[in-house]
Amino acid sequence: MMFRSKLILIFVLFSVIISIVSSYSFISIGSHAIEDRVRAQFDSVATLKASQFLMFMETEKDDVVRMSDDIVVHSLIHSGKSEDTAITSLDDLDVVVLRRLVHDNIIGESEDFEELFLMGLDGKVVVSTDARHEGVVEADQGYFLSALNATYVQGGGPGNRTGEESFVIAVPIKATGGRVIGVVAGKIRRTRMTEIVSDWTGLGETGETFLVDKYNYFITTPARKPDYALNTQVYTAGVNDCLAGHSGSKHFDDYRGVAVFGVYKWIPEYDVCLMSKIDDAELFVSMRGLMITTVFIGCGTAFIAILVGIWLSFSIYKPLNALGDIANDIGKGDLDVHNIKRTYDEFGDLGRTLVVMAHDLRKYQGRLLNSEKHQKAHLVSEVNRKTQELRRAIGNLENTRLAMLNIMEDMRQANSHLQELDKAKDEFLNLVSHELKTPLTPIKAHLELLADGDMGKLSKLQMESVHTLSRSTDRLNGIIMNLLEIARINTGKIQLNIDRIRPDDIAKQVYDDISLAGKEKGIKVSLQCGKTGFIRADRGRVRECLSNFATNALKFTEKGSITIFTRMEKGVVRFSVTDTGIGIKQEDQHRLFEKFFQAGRQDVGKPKGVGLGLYSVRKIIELHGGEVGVESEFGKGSTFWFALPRRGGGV
Amino acid sequence: MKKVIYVEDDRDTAEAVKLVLELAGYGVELAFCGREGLAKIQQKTYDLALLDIMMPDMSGWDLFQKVRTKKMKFAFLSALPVSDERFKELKKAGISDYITKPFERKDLIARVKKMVG
Repeated sequence: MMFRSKLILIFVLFSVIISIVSSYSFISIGSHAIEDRVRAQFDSVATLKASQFLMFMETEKDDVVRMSDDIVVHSLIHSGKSEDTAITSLDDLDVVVLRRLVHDNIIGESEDFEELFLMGLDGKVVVSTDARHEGVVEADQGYFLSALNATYVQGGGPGNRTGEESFVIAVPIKATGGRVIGVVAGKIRRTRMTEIVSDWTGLGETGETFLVDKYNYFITTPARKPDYALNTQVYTAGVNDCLAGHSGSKHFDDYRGVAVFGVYKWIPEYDVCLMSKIDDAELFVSMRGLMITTVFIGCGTAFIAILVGIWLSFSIYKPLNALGDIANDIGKGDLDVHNIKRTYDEFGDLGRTLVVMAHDLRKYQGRLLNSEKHQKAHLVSEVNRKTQELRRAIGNLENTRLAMLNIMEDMRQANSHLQELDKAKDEFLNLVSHELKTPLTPIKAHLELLADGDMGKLSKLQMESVHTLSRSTDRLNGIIMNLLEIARINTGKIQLNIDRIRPDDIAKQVYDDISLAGKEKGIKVSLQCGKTGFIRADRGRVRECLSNFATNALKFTEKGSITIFTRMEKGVVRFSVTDTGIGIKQEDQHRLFEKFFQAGRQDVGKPKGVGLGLYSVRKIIELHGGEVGVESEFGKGSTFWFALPRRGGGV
Repeated sequence: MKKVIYVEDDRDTAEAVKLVLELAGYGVELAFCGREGLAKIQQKTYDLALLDIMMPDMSGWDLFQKVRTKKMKFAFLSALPVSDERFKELKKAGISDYITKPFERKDLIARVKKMVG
């Protein structure tokens, strides 16, 4: 919704609400004022009527009292007797005279009383203005019994004879000396009471006043419904409240069922309710005019308020709009704004300020553009330079990358070559071993056959030849095996068969192997085992290593002893072979375990070793993660040892 | 007399072994390639087959695979060494022994005797 419309809407709503609120309160106050006026009016009427009623009752009471005072004296006088005559009962008086007195009494003739009668002490109606009543005994009547003591007014309650309401004033008749001899009673005429009460002057068209007794029966005839059964109870809200002893005013539904406004007074002297009421409709008639006036005024006010609102909103909206236009123009980029709608208020000032700002901005813009041009040119050249450098760097990087790729490719090729080489070595090894050993087989076999005589008897010389050939063949075989073992170790083709082995068992086996040969040679061979338990190593190969040491010791010892040791040391088991042989020269010792090194080569006569060489022994022990070594003194003897870790390190 | 067949591509070796075993009292027949060995084993009955491993047309192992169901003993006779593990595997597969060349006469005879008696 546009701001303008919002503004108008606000004003309209505002004014309409105010109109409604003020109209309502105006009407409310007005109606209350009217009601109060009516109440006051009715109140005065009711008060007046109540006092009139009271006065009437007092007057009648006085009349009856006067009669009671005079009746004895007057009857005596009229019957020609003395005033002082002692009277003991009404029977002492002349009935005729009494009758005449009662009938002719101004009270009896008045219209106020319906009936006037005298009762004796026995309750018998001696004399009455209503002849029918004479002779009736009403000793149980409340008013009679009460009146024997004092003046008594009985109000309310349906009459037992006629069924009509009656007020009875009963006064005791006293003889000279103060003795009660009877009762004089007067029944007040209801219509008279009605007359007094129901005059509705000042009560409007629908007003009326009536009396209700404490038993909720109408005492006086209600004017609005004269034929309403008089023995019917009223029981309206207003009357009920009044009979509870309250005086006040109320809106309620009356005995006809019509909504009325009533003012009521409780008259405690006679236990009677006086009600003055008027129809609500009549009450509000006067209000109607008020309401119409109010509505007209309200509408008029609302209309004016709307007009004012629209004008106000326009006057607010116009300068805002103008401001908006200026801002709009500036926003579009037109900083040379000129067509401003002038308003001479705060908004106008703001607009002017904006325009000035815009012009200044334009000036700066111009300056900025110029400097910008210079800056831009500079920046562009900078950027170009940097771009060049970057491109060069990328080029370099690319070259490097390609170079690296080449290198990687070369490496890959080299690697595959190596692998091929490896494979070739493998195949070569197998081939060589096979090829080399193949001719050895028949050679050896035939030599054995010859030596064993299966090819015929040989001469001594022939046999010696055969033996020489056999020895050489064995040596050749040993060398080939050595070479192959070395080659395999070098190419890493060895796989250790690691198992749980007992060093002592291996030492024992090797001892068994050489002990016989040692004995033949006259050398003492012994075995000394420590408690070495188990180690994890390659059984076969460890045996070969120890065997190598042992056979070497055998070869290089002429006399003395050879001892095989096993000993447990910290974390390792040490195998060693100690001999009393020729020993090794100091300078040769560190070269012992190198490839193909044979110590004592210069000594032609000394036997050469077969089987594993010391180099192979070293390699195998190293694969186990162990160490080899030698201690020797040239001419005295040597100790060759190797130590293996208990847990089988290495491969 | 126990019958032995020796499958070996090198003649000299084959003849030498034949001589040694015959002197020890065994009947020996020779085959100089895998195919020939296969045919002979399938046609005739022997107590023991000694097989060279490295032969040009068929390896001793392949030959063994083809005839292993036959009721006879099988052993390899080869210049190639064998590891303990491999030897165990071969035994499980049905090879009774693995003898390396060159061998000692006494050793060969003892081992053959152990296999066939």
